[in-house]
Amino acid sequence: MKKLLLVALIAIFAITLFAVNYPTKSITLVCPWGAGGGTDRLARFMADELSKELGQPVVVVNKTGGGGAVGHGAGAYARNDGYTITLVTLEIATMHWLGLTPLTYENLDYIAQVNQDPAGLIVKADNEWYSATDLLVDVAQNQGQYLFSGSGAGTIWDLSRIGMLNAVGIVPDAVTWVPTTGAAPSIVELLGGHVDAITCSIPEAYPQIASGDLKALAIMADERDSRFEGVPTLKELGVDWASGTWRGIAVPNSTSPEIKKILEDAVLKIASSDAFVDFMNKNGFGIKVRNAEEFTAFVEEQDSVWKEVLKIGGYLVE
Amino acid sequence: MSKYKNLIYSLKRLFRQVPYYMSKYKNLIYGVLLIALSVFVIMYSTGFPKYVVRGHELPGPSFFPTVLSIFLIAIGLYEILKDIVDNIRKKERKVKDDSHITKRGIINILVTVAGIILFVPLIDIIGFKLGAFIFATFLMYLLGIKFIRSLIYSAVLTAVIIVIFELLFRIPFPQGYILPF
Amino acid sequence: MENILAVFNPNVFLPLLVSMFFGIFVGGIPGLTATMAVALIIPISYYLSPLAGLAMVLGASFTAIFSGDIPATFLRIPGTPASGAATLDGFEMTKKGKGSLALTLDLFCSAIGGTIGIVLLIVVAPPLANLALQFTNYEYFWLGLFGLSMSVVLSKGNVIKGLSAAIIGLLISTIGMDITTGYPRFTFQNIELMSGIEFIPAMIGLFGLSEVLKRIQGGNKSLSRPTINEKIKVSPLKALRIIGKRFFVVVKSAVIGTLIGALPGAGADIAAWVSYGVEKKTSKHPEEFGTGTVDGVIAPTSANNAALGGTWIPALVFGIPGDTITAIVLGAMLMFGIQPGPLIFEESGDLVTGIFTVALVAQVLLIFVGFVGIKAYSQVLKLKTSTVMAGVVIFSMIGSYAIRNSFFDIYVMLIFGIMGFLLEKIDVPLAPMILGIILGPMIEDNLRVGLTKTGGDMSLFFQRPISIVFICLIVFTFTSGYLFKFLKYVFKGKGRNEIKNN
Repeated sequence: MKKLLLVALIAIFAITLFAVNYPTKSITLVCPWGAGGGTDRLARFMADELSKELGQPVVVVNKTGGGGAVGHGAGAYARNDGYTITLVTLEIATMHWLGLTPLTYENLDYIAQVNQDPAGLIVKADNEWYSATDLLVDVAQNQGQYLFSGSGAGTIWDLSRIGMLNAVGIVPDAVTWVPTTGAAPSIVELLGGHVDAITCSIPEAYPQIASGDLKALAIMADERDSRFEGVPTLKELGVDWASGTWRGIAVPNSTSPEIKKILEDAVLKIASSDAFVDFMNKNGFGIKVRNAEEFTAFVEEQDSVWKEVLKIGGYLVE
Repeated sequence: MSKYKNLIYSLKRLFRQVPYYMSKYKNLIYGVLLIALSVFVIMYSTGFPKYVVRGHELPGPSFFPTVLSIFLIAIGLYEILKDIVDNIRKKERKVKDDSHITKRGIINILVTVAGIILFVPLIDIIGFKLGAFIFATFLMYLLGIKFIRSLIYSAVLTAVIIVIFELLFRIPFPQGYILPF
Repeated sequence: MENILAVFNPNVFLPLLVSMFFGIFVGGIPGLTATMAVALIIPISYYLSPLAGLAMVLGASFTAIFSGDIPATFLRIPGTPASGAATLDGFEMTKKGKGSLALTLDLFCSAIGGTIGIVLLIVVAPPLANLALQFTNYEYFWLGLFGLSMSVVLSKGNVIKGLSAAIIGLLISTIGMDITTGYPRFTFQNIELMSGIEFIPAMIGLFGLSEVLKRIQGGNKSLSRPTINEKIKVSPLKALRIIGKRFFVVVKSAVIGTLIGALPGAGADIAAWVSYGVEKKTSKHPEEFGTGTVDGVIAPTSANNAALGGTWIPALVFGIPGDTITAIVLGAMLMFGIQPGPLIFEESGDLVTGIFTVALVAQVLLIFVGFVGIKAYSQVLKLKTSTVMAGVVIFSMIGSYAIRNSFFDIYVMLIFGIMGFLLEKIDVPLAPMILGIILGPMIEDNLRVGLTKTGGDMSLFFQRPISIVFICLIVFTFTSGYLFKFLKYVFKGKGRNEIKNN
């Protein structure tokens, strides 16, 4: 009897050791941004699809604050049992350089990337700038005269602007950055004629572009976006700069490889589904899928890119 | 020996008069607190970075807190002087809030505040729902409801909270380490 | 016509009605906001038609704003941020045993104010939206200061203490990341403070918990009585008679509310405070405000519902959110395959007509649903005070937690509760502090970003026409008392003694 019990115990131990039984209970998906926003919509979509895929409920928890530091921190410092996953955004590669948090990209393990939105360069439709070249030449000749906006100081749209100017050898100070609380208030400023140009993703300003109030001069990507065929890339114009925001799924570091594999397979399967493509198109999200290995390498590269740009912009805290 | 007794006695007397002086000089105390806060804010904000655009220094992170603190110091000084003058003239300033604190009331307040402070570490152990149930029962009992009734009301309250927050709004309550619900 | 009748199709009407009851529920519980209700409705609405989905959003948001006034009036605990100003005279009326009258007035004013807001949205949306576009940092700065000058009006005769409260509120608003440099101020390395003090836990503490502490400080004898000492009798005719005499107040407040709501940088909460202040300032009996006067109930409650209509103006005309609710709505429109923005009137004209009709129908339904809400709430308040107070403590904690799933915010709520309790002991009014916390970022950020734009030159703040209007209003707020006395003195020879006494 005793022997049998021992064997049974060893067997149970062996099973739990080699065959990961995951997930057996509900999973929390941490969203570092507020309910109702773009990232939140993506998080809720992914949560629904993941729960279909994994057979357990996936609950979205919005943990906001600190420019993303609170949510990413909550996701990174959670138990690495796979039951807390994070919708990670680009800020993971900039926050610690801004001195907002000791958390770095290394505190997380990356499952898969699902989205990338390149920055656009947008001006009022009746402006005499007809291309990004016009604008850059004008800025270089009239330093300190123009106001740019797009979002807060040190955010991705600010950094996109700094990187663009730097790529053509203009100091970031040549234009004044008008900080706002997001892309929407910046669009208001541009529509009202209170700033001269904004940098933000093109879908964010699409209603105004479609109505002919605003125009997109360039997109900061490697190739043109099929949704906005008429908008040239900066690279076509000879400016070697691409930049934008991105989103993906991550787990706390040193989560077991089996769990990561299960999650990666699930996310990649979702990302290849029609429902996903439909969702992303409707919401104006750009689709960019990278698997765990590619995503990890990408985040690592991003971390060093943004360190450079933040240094040029004078934001770097060491 | 009697020396000490005298000392203890006079200390006790002094201690009993603390509430009296606190209420007599409450505006003065408020003024001092305002000034202390302002001085702290001004000192602390000298450590904030400067905001320079193309060589011009513009009002930076410390500008607004500093300006506000200067106003607050002025108000603090006014409150202190006014209180001293009023006390010399024996003029009582009218206070709209005429409610009295009783001893039982102080216990109520202290226990409620302590309860809220302890609630967070407590639910780490026994979970949010059980924690809310226990705390609600405890509070109702403290405020004079019979124990059995407190239990029933708290059970209903907890059920309502679970339905609203967890089922409807899908706000997941944290679970405890010992009791995972 | 077809589009108008579409509202009464059960596929639209039923979701609308359900969402309105849901809104009553959400607004009445501190910590659950209209924004959260809308974020919750959106995923459900994908299974419905676009009009039904938007009807649910409209229904829930209008009722939630009214319903937030119910605990504000009965318990001095604002259910939503927009109900802060309703605590002032509404709660005083409850203390006099006139709580149900206050809420009946509130309900009708909400419906009338909401209707005025919607009518303005239908009739003059494009010009109003263009006016809103003229607002930039300079104008918002003065609007913020104008709002803040209302704290003088709100401080019930004790101007210096009111000012001190407002400044403390402004100082609290400086906690967190700075707008121009991103530097974390007064956060003491605490990551939770990085984005500043959360407003809702602070408000729940300052009003809700401090009220609980106030009630339990006198021992348990008084706690065994029912929470409200009146028979809840709702008498619509009496309320309508009172409103009839003050219809101008309702219209004025609703117009102010709509205008402020239409600005992308300001919302229903500021609208309510400003219209309360304006009403008191222009009233013939300003001394009655804060003691439970009907004007003090009518003004803010007409304005906050009207402001909701206002927030749809930039949303429909430009595709730019006027507040957090319309921000979520614009996202939802994309999911329905509707492109929000200037083209919406041409491309989805039917839907826009539908939205307008739903919004107007919702105002009529609000009166019925609102009565049910008042009745239901007053049933709960028949319980002993001690039971209700214990419940309020629990809900305050959970509500504070639920805003962003943070335990830290429970402590924020507690600290503000104790602070509010102590400040009221020394006669410091709390309303100016709330105003300071709301308006702090508006004043500071716009001043500093404005100066960034001009390179440090102040003159643009004084040159633009809208700015000048606000400057005049601020000067008027501070001097009108003296001005009126002076004019009286000049024209009638009266008031000579009053001036001497000052």
